[in-house]
Amino acid sequence: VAVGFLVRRRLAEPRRGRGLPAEASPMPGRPVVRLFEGLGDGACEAVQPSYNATSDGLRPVFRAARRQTAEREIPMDEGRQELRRIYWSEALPFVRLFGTVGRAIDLHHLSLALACVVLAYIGGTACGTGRVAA
Amino acid sequence: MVSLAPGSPGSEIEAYVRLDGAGFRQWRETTRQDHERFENRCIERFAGGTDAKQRPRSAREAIQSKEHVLEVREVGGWLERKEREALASIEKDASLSAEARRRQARELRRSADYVRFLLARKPVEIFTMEEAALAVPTLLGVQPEPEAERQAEARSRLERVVERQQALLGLDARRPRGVFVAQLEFQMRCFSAAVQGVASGRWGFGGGALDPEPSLLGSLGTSGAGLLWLVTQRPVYAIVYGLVHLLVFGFFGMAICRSAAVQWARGETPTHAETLRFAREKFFSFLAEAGFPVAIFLGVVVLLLIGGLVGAIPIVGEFLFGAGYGLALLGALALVFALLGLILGLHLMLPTVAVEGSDFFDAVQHAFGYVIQRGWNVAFYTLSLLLYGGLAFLVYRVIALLLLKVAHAITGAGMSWFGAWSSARTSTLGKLEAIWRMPAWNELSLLPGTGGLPFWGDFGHAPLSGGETVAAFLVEFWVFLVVAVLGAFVVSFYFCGSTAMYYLLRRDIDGIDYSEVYYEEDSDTGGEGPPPPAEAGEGKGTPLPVLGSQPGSGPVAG
Repeated sequence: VAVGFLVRRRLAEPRRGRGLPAEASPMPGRPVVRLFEGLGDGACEAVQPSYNATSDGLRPVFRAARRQTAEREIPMDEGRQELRRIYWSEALPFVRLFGTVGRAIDLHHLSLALACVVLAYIGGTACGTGRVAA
Repeated sequence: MVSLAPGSPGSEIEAYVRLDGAGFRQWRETTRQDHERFENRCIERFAGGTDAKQRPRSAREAIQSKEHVLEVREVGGWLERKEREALASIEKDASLSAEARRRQARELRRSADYVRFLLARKPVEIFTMEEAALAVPTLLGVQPEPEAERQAEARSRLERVVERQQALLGLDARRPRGVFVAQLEFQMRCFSAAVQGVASGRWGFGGGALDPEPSLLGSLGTSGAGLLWLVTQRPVYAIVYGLVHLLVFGFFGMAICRSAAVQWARGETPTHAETLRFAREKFFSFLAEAGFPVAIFLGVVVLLLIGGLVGAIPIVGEFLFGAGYGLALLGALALVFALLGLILGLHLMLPTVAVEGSDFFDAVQHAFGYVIQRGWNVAFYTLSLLLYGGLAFLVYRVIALLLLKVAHAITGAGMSWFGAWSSARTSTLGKLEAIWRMPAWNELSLLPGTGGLPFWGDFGHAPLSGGETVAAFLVEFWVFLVVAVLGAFVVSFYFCGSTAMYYLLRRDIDGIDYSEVYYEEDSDTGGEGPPPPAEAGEGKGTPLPVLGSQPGSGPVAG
């Protein structure tokens, strides 16, 4: 819902965003605009597509956005945007936490942690002079 | 023997967690009396007729007399002979069908194994109640001695030895355990319960680790109560082991955090030498700087103690104590804040040093400040990491479980040639089964259990020969290595997750980019400072190119 809202808001006012130079566009001849300005740099990019370009996702969101654009009588060539990529880690920063397992099973980290566990076990048993009633 | 109510605590830590203060004291007293009564009964039973002067001081001494040790050896020899002869007689018995012969031989072997387990003082939990009850009569009844007198003597001796061995097993079960082992077992149980809570969707404070339906936060609370037992009931051990723990986990934690920080910011993994050198340089100065606030903390404690001493003076002291109690409350407030800050911000201190290369005071300031400024973010990130880590742990645990079970099943089948051969000291257990007992396939659980046999099984549960004992030791080493790697994953996840959380909070609060990480000028290598960020497409975790931004400072595609 939030993504749809932001996309719709951006499409309704396409010229308010920070435009990038046309030469920086990965699709020559078509300018690049940035969406989600409030969520951080580069959270989302959109390229004004050619007439038969396909969107990579969020198709239903775009349909709704197009309908709204039409209702507000904004010219189609200004309103039509194509979402090329969503930087989830910028839009939702906590997504970066999901890289933790990959880092945790890194052999370098795992070997250090293994040394830690073994030493803690040895240290614990060596210090374990007290008794606990069973 | 005092029988405790069903579901009553099985250990001192469990009793401390479950019961209130008075209940815990009563449990300890009841348990002590129960042990004393059992010991006295054993002494009465096995050394009752002796003079008061020669009376043994302990039950173990009363049971394990020289005669008993000799008798155990003799019964062991008699058992082997008896089993051999009885099996031969069963084979020769033409009146039995093949099926009946197999059944009788099987029963005889199980009975002989039961007595062998007792003679070796091994737990007999793998035998059913029926097998245990029928073991001695089966052994004596298969091929009775020709003379009634010898038969009665054999029965009497076997029953005597078995009774003494069972009494010794009872003493073994009541023997107090080491603090570390007891605490480790309890904490592992809490951890398993927390993972169960994650997998079952019970993430709140619904049930503690000892409840039938444990929850995530409830189990963590139970774990904290277990640590509280350590601090309040075994304070000396808590201090000694706390220091060892602090050194080991602090040093290696710093190394892991540093490595994770560099990997996060630059997409490259530093070498062991680099991370360990960083940890050595930073951690010990970190510890030295931590001594100052610890001294202040202890100073406040001493001042409060002195205030209490003043209160012990009649009349004047009591007046001063009452008048100045507001100061005592202020001191206690400072201690509580310091403790809360330590508990809430502890996991962010090492990442702060690893990322910023800062000192102790900066680490405390950062950690405490972030927790205060973004308390909800910290809580959300922590809960996310707990859930995510719990699920990841489940996956790796299942892999480890299958790895051990498959290895055990295949090599065990080879060692016993599909059940045809038995171990050196038993008649019904395969060699690997005697060395290493694993849960059966139908006993394996995807979720970690909070009781019973652990997923890696049990070692030394059956009588073993010399060679088998050596093999058991070596196999145990490899199996525990697998289990230790699983534990290492938990430790590694904790430090990597804390580092990731620190980066997120820093970006959120201070607006510092993820790629900013401290690099020390290295004079040995020409003082080149930080290496350049990896180029796009090289290695894992490399930032993707972002239009209009500087290399290395852009976002990572999610």
